[in-house]
Amino acid sequence: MRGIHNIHRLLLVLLLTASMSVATAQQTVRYDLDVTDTVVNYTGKTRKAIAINGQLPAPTLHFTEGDTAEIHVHNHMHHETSIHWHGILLPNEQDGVPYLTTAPIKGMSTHVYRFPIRQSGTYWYHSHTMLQEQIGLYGAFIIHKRNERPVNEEVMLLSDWSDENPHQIERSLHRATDWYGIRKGAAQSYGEGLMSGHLGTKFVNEWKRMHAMDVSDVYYERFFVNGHAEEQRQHYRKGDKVRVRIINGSSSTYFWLTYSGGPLTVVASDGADVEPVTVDRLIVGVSETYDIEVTIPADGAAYELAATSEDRMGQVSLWLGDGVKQLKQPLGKLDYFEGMKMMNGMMTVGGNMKDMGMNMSLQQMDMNVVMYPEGNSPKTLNYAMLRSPQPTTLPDKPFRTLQFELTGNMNRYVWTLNNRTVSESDKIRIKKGENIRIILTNNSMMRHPMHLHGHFFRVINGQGDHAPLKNVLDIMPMETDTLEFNASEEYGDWFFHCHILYHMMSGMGRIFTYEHSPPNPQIPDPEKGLRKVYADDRRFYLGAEIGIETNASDGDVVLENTRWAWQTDWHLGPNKRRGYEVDTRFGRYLDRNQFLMVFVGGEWRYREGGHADRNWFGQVNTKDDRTAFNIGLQYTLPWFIVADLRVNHKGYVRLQIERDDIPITTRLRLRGLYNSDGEYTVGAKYILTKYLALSSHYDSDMGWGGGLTFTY
Amino acid sequence: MLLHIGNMAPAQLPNAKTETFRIAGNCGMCKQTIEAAGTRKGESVLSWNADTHFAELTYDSAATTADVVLKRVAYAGYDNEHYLAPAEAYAALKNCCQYERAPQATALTTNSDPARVEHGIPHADHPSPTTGHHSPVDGVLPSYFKLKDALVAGNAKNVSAVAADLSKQLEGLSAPEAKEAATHAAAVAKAKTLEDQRVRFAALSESLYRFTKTNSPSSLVYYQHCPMYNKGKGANWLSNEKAIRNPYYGDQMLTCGSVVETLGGKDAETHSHE
Repeated sequence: MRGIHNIHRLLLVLLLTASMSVATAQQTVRYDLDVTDTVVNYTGKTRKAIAINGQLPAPTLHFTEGDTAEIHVHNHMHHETSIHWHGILLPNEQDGVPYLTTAPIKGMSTHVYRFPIRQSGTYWYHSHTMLQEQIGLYGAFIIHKRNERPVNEEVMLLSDWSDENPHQIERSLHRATDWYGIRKGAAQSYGEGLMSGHLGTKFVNEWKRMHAMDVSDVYYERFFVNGHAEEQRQHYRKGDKVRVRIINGSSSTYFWLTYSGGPLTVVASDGADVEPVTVDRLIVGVSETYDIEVTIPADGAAYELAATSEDRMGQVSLWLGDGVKQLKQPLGKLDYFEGMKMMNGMMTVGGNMKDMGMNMSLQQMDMNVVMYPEGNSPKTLNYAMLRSPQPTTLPDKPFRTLQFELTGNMNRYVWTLNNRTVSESDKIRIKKGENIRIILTNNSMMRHPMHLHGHFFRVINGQGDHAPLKNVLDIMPMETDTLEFNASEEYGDWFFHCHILYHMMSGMGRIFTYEHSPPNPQIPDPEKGLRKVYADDRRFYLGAEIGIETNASDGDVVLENTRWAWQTDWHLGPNKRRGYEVDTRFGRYLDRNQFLMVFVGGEWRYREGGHADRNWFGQVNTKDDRTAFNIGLQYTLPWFIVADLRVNHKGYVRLQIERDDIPITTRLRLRGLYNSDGEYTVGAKYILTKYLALSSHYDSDMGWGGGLTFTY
Repeated sequence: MLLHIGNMAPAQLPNAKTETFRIAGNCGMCKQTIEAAGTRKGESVLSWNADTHFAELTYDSAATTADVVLKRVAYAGYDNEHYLAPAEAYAALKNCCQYERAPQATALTTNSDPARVEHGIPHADHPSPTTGHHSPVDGVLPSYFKLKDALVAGNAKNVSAVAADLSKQLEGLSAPEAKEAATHAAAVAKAKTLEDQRVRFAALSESLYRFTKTNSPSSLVYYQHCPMYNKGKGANWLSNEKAIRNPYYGDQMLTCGSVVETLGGKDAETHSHE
């Protein structure tokens, strides 16, 4: 009896020691992140940015699987911020989407994130507040495997930098500025088309209502690896294998990776291991991560791991080894007209993409190859080559299939799923434990890196049970891809969105919501919070083009959002005889491609000493003194001719056709206007800067003149 | 160390700075390409000598740097002190321009193919591989052996080319013996005649021997001796092969000499390459 008691006691002691050792293994790792406003100077100009712990990018955080992360974010700025842990599996209120999952971190306050680390791999973190990610709020988040001793391991955090305020970038994109194209040498004017034998290509392209071809929308002054143009690690020697954790922390730039010391072996993607696959190059989509291994082939040299922006405007390098630097052949300039020709083939006049029965998927057929001078010969990674080392089959539960068509409109920079923005659609309700299958079809002209918060999905890629796990999927134009995930979290709202910052802000996404989620203590008023989330894609953007010329001032000012537009334009002569005209209208775009807008508006014009004219419809008007209320419609015809048909409250009808910004050379633009009152205008401008052009025009009422045009 | 080559009048550049660099190449056609790549109006003037392989670079130090210019030269296909040309750029050179490349660049073409098939093992479970210990001397010995071979062959042009590379590599190391060896290697590179080169090679071999002695190399190295050289005073050299191929006399007395000491190699056994 006594003996048994002793054995029990012994067992109890053993159990206690065992549980204590487990407790010590699960340690809490605390980081303090001090977020401050800062100024940087990369190009000779001082610019505002955001730093964490005084550095930009933010510091690399290291954890080991099994740790508990405790991260204290101290916001020393006067405006709010947030941190999202990209790719991390965590309780919903720790996810860091302000107003949706997590309380925003108000200015001059501290927020504590605490979550268990239940995975390993390469991840990152960034602000999910407005455009803060563009100006520095991003850092690497590395989770080591248990008992893993990191040897020969580097982080390559890639990013893009513009000297322009990101809010200006965003606004300019909605105005379809071609300034970025000019900066990139990618204006693709008629003159350049003529010189290179692609005049017809350019014409067909505009006929199909497509603006200049580009692979990325923004012009960036600088690209960075870990915040620098280049970095070197000198301690590597011949035969060393280096694991490089590549994180694309850019706002809208894809990067090509190439290595001058031999091929690259991909061993993980988005944090999840894949069976090693060896390639000559790979493209890293915005927000994707890849772990690669490279080998140092010889001593006495440093070998270049180069990351080249997809538009090939810049390159950053990580040099591995010591000695003379072995360069990698740079990627040549893009042949935009070849890309345009390809696009012409795929785009219908109606503005739809057709894949011509090629069943494109998983990056296997990169249509952009037509633009690459090096062609298709380097062995390039695609998603079909990724294979998980372990089976990734989902629990045996019913599947629910959701179909999303990726839709968009380059001209007005509206990006949507099924032609709906986040704010225009309901949350998608999912049941805990069910399997979700998402079929994505990209019917837009751009590629989109679609990111799912808080879950890994399997990419159905022909690898069967070993389909790779990812949390970002890059989908190229015309591709169809299938993703599957199990609703394995407990509760909450999970964002699914395009990770190109300016696409996300325009509303390209959806919110998945677990049914029967408990109230989120961090979001005391969920309805109000959701309105804040929706406000991102409901914003209006101001634009203007104002000419001050010797004969008159022609100008227009617009205020537009996803669907609504308020447009005002004027023609003001120098005196009463030349006359004054002002027209304003408020309208809504109706169709998916936003070619059609209906509007109501008013006009006022005054002139002395004019005479009565008969219009095309036999109606008579002096145009000398008219105050009228209009209804009408605008339709963008092929070749970007905007037709405006309206009738005023007296039944007077006017039809006008207008074409602006015909690119003759890189910087020379022509415009023309003609209407049923017999009025016409022709004009030209030579673009000096983003905001300023020399201009001249002839107006049937105002005559010739020249001066300056301001574009905003 | 400045070699004034040709009759290039120092260009009328503001903030002008002139430096001399070794740039690989063979012929007149190379000269054209190298100079075109290195010269940019108002920024830099590069003049390259096909015999010595030295280039004189004059540049506006406010507008550009020597590094930027040498990078352009490498992109045009020519290895130099700062950069090795991309494999594609080198391959695109005309046959007559395909100079003998630095060992680091050659390693690339020979190593890249096995690397392709090597990666069969799934990475998932095994932790990052620990790599073998390498001695700092491992990095410079191949270049030294190349230099020795050039002396055996009696190719003075090649000797200065390889010696310049070796000197650069040695300079990158911190050990005092390496610094000393670097000076001697530079002297070999500058020597005008084969005879002169061999005199300086003897001094280089002495300092490199001491460096190798203190930093055991991972593969076997043979310290060899020629009793006849320098009027019977004798001279030594290092070799990666046991058989004697005398760098001091070349084919006049190729096999004269003997092994006096064997260095290193233990690491090569314990840390064999996977």
